[in-house]
Amino acid sequence: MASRTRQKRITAAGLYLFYAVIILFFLFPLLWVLSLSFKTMPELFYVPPKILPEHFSFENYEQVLWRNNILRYLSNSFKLEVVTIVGTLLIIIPATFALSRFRFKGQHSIQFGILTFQMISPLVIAIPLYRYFSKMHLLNNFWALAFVYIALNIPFSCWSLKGYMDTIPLSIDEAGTIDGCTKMQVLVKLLLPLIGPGIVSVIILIFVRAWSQFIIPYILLSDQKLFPISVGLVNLQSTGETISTHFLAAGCVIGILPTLLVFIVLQRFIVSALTAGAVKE
Amino acid sequence: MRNTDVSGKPLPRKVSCSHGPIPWLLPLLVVLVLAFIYPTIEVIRYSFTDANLAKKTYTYTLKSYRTIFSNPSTYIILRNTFSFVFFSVVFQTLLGFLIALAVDKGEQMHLHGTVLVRVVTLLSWAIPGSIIGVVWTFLYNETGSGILVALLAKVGITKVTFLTNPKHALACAIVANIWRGTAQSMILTYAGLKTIPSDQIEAGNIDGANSWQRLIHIIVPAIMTVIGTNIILNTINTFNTFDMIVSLTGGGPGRATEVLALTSYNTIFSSRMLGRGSAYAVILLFINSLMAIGYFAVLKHREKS
Amino acid sequence: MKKYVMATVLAMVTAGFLFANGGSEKPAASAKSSTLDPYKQAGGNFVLTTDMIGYENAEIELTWQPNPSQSLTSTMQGRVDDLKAKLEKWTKAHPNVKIVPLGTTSNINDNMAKLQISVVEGNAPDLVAVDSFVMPQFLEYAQDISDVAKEQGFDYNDYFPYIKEQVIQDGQLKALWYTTDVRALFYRKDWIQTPPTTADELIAEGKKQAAQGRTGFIFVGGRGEGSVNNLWGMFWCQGAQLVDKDGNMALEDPKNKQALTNLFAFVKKAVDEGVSPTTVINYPRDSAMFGDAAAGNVAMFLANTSAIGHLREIMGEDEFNAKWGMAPTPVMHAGETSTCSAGGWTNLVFAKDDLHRRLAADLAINLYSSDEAAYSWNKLESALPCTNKQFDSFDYLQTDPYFVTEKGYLQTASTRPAVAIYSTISTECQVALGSVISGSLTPVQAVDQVIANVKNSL
Repeated sequence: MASRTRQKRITAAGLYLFYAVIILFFLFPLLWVLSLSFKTMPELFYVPPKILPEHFSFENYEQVLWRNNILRYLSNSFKLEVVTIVGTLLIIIPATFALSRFRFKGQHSIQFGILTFQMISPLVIAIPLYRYFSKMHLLNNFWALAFVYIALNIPFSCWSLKGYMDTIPLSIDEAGTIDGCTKMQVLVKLLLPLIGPGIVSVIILIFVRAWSQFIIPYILLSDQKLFPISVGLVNLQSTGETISTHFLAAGCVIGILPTLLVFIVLQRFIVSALTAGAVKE
Repeated sequence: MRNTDVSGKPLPRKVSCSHGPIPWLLPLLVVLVLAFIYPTIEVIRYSFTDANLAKKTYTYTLKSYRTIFSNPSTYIILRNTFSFVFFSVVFQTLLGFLIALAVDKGEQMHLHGTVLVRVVTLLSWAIPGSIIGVVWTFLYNETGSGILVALLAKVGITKVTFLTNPKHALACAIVANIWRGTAQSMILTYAGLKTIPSDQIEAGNIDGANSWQRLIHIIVPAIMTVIGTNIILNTINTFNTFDMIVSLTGGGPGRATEVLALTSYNTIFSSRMLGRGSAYAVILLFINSLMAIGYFAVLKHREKS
Repeated sequence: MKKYVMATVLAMVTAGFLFANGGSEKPAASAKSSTLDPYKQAGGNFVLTTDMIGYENAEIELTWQPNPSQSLTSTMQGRVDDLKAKLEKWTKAHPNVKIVPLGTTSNINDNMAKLQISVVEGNAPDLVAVDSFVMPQFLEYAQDISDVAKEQGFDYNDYFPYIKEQVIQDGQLKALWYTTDVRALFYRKDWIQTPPTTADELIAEGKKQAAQGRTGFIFVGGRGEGSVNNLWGMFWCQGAQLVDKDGNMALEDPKNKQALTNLFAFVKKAVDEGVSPTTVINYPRDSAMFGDAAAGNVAMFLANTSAIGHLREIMGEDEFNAKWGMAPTPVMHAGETSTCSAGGWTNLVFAKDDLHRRLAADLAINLYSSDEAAYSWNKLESALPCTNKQFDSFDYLQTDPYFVTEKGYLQTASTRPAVAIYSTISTECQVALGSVISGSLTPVQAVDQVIANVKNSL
């Protein structure tokens, strides 16, 4: 019995050590950026570098916030988020209903077809879309950009929402139909409340994906006024002028913070969203 | 597994034309045609032309493909792309698996900090790839004020090079990409582990199997399809990587970290050769399609089991 | 009956007109603008932001795509203040015009490629800043603005000959070249008595500095036009050319090939001898070096003369003047004449209708080109003006020793070949330079790779 507890202790110690290594590996880059974001210009050139800034001043943040359009990039990202989430849901909810509740010819092909689109690199579609939008004067157009964001989010969100809807027993629909509900009423009044958690998960997934989207705005936008944060920061990085590491680091922290907050607050939801979508459809 | 229920039982009412699925699916189909099918056809068409951004007219030709396959740098780029994908995916999957296992085990043993490990591992998933690239350029600062340089110097390793050395640059990009992509592997494997019925594991305990045997004979087979899905999703994500490379190395030094998506972009937007850039995109598309076929095979396999 | 027919015809015409309007914005604007008066006082608040400049209700909208670092989004306060003052003056003199700036990315190459598409599609902004080395590719789409220049009293025949050659086509003024920059070797005056004049001297001096724990010499070694552009001087001084008279790549010519090999060999030697760190690969543009230069451990760097203005803003003018000296780009072998690349920025007008064309040209002249505008602008950019008159009359060109020296470099400077193939040669040389610095290719292999890849791209 004693050896059993001893073994358990060794296992626990081993696991804790592993946890420490993992936490260090995943947290260290972020902590370093945070530290850089508080440093002053001369501190950047200390050899060897100091782990912590000498004093925490928010001056770098003030600089990037007021002089480098970061606030505008953030607000562009948020606007895109709202339109993308609403637009995607409006399109996928009825589609999911059809795929989950109807039997029809070609259903299987459509389902797999939708999933195939998720595999296509956005670069592939961005090239023709650039020309196409250029002809129609839609480059540097918020709504055209949002349309592409919506399209890119449809495949996986449709697929994962269908997974949720499939878990709702058909008897619910049948009961509704007997009560004289139309299909629309069945969907809106009966099914939607039941797949609420599924919708929340899908919203989180769309939020993170849209926040990270890079290639589409990078190609379709040339006007800084519309840049989302992902492109805005790369633009800040490659600006033709002197922009030093400490400003860029502050910009990174500002760009990371919103999704990280969403993430930490909704941590449990996210784990279930990520797992449900991909594992048990 | 409601799917089989649905298909097994006919729906309780007649599906008339007006109640058919088409109106429900129509918006989705329209968007997919406009945003995916039409552009895909177009990009394939461009790839067979000599179109240039600076000209309005073009003719159909196979020249783009001929030049691409006769150009030695194409093979460098393909080699970069494949090594980037291979090593990223192997380590993402392995590390994700280990973390998931450690967290799961820790939960069973009621250890502290399992939630913290899970959250910290997942953080990278919420960060845009372009920002991850910027973050890692800070770490890879090679001057005396670079943090990794300083830490390595403490353990006696000096004169390290990261992104400036073409032999190391790709490896550095892979490490950054492992940091970025492990989250997904971890969470999928973790979810997979949760689906293993506990009686199966207990059966193993009673049989007197040690932890290694349990891992090999019970756990791994039980989540094999999850691992398969995971590998394919990681592969697709990595093949399509563009954002992180742009901000990390921009493809350099030389062409040491140039991957297919970046070549396609540069060919079009730097050299203005729309035809040839599209041909690179078509190669990417071809690889994407192979991945899709692999994914469906795994999904089918899972449905059967 | 007649009334009914009339009404139908009228309805159809109106519908047709509306449809045409909806189809594209530009023709509609032009149809309307011919009757618009730019001097009419418009209502609304006067705004001056990075999104819009002018009275809110102004009827004429002028689209303007400046170079980001020469716009209101610049991070250099001096430049922003200068432009703000000029823009306010101009829009108040043209109260019925509002300017809509288009803030582009900082990636010049991408911007120029995207501009090319919009020019071909016919939807380019009214006024666009174009980097001088790609400018010739846009001339066929640019409007003739000779008339406006004459009215504004801007004497374009006074442009330096190499500029005149490029911007005047068949007697028409197609572009307003507004800044000229040259390259120089910057060195720490307090550490180095006589700056090196040849490649070998530079390496010898660099080794001396490195022995004291300093960084000997840095230059732009990453992927970007700036890297090769700063180094071209050391290629040209050998009497070599990148392209021949017919605009074809001339690197297969043994003399040119040798010159490029020498350039790469110099770079390799600098790295191998510990004079230049391999981290120069991380500098894709001049500004990336300024932090290190200002930090005080670098002995020499090769850069665009705009470094003067940048470093003065970062370090303060007095400290910069005390520490940094400026010398001509070193030559490859003793006895050669130092030369360097002269670049700059130009303004092109793409507006379709006459009113917008005139206003765009007027604006460009008053922001950057006129004697008054160029005086303040070139000083801020530490760039040189483009006409003889400005060159001779600006006081700082006679009094500020840095400007005086800079002026001298222009006498022997050259411009990059104004042909499309240059972009490809440049990109390939940037890639090859990286391979040489990192040691993955020898200088000879690197040159062979450049030649093979450029030929392959044809």
